[in-house]
Amino acid sequence: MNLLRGIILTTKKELNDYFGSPLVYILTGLFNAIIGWLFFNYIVSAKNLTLLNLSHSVLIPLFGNINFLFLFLVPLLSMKLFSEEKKHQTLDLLFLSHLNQTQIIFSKFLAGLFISLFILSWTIVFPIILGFSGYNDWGLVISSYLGLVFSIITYLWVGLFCSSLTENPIISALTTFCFLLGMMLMVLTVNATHIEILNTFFQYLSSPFHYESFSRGSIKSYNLVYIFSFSLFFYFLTSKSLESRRW
Amino acid sequence: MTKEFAQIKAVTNMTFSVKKGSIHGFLGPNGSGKSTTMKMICGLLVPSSGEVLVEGLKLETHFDQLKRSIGFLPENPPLYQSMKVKEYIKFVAGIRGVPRSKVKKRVETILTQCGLEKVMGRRIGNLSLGYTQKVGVAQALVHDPEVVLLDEPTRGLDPEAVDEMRKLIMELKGERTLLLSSHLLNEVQNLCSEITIIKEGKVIQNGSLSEIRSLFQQQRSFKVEVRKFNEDIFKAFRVKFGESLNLNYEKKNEQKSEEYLLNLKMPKTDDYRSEVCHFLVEKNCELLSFREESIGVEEIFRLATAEGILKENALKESVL
Repeated sequence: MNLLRGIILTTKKELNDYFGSPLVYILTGLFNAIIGWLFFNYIVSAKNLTLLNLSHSVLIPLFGNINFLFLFLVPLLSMKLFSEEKKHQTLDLLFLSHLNQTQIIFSKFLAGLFISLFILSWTIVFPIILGFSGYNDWGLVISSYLGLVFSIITYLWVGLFCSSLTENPIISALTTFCFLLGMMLMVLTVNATHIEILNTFFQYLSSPFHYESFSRGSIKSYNLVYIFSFSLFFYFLTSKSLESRRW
Repeated sequence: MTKEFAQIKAVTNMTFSVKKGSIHGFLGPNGSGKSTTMKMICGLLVPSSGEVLVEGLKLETHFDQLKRSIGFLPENPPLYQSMKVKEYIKFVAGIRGVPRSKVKKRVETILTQCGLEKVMGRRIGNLSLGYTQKVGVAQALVHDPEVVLLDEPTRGLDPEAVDEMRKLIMELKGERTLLLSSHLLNEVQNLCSEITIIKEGKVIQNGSLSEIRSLFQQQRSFKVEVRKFNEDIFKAFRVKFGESLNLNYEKKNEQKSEEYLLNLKMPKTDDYRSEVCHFLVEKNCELLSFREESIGVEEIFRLATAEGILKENALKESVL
């Protein structure tokens, strides 16, 4: 079967499911309301509205908060991707179809990514508002968005894997959230020990560390290697988890 | 094949074959391993040992090729509740590899064949159980598979819906090879030429329905309708045939008191039909009908799944 046709069909079905449920609209509204409120507060509390100050006092913390909020959003968006299929035994339908396992996993991933980007896309309003006031450091904005997209990709892979483990969407969301939060807290704990080699190792494993490089506008090759290897590792785990249903 | 789940054997050394183009009944009590076996046959579960062959090809090694020719309706049909019927069938046709140019025609054909035209615009979640099962069958047939596995297609259906489902299955006879699991044994009797009976994950009977019937039927049983039968004739019958034939009689209808129904049982080895007819005519009885009653699948199933048969078969195997 045409590789692309299979992915398009399943992704389209997933997107219809997403947009057919109120969850996405509620999450989009809630998320943007929080970000809007934070943006307003950062603007009000900024002492001087200079170019440098706007970047450091408004946009960098705002993007940091967006990244943090996605830690809560992605588990909710990814929770049903496989668990619901397992619960209603529709996963068997996909396995017996002409789609191979990679196509199934990627179509789910693309649907999750599309929805996350849909929610994120509304936040572009805030830099544009600053742009009307003369703000023009668009390199930082683009780099931060790139960092957010890569963070969302890593969160989604964890979400996909956790969703493939259970038939219960709530358990899937909680497991994803615990894993992502654990990844963040692990770095803080290791930092407290002041053991440099451990610090470096665990920092590398943690997604927020790599996001920081993007938000500073200094993207390193190892950031890209991390995202690629992280995705590959969780793709492998998801694949094995789905395969185990046949064992 | 054998299938173990966490040291529990769901299926043990199960071997049976299904003839091409036939409807094969797959029977067994609840929890006997029917669904597990069906899932192994369509490749959704991998046997712990053994193999499944479809047209001589190993399923495990040719799964991608063979899954194209298998249609499966599990016990709980795999349906997306939020989708509309036509939209769902179109989606399944797409992922099942029906060429894009043929999808529209194929979807329309299958909707008509399964009697779903009336509900094609309705959401699956709002359908009755009968229609839900039909949508399940439609998804199993939409890619025109050669082998179709139907796990309890009549489960929970009312008699009218069962009748419609039977008609639908009968339409498939000859075109495709069908493996049908059902609790409605009369349905199996009407539809299937061959059956496999399993219990506790083991095959206890396998073969054509007539072979299995003769195996379980210890005596031939006849129903004879006569007029002018009485107690004297009954006594004369017992004197003439003695212990070889077992006869009892009852008045067929109170108002037409002349009509009697005789239940006659004779050994499989001897044929007394001619002698019985002559005897009744000699005694001036009017013979209205004389028909043989064959053992039903229900009786076969009851006998086969009874504890004793399993032990008896095991004994036979050990002797052989």
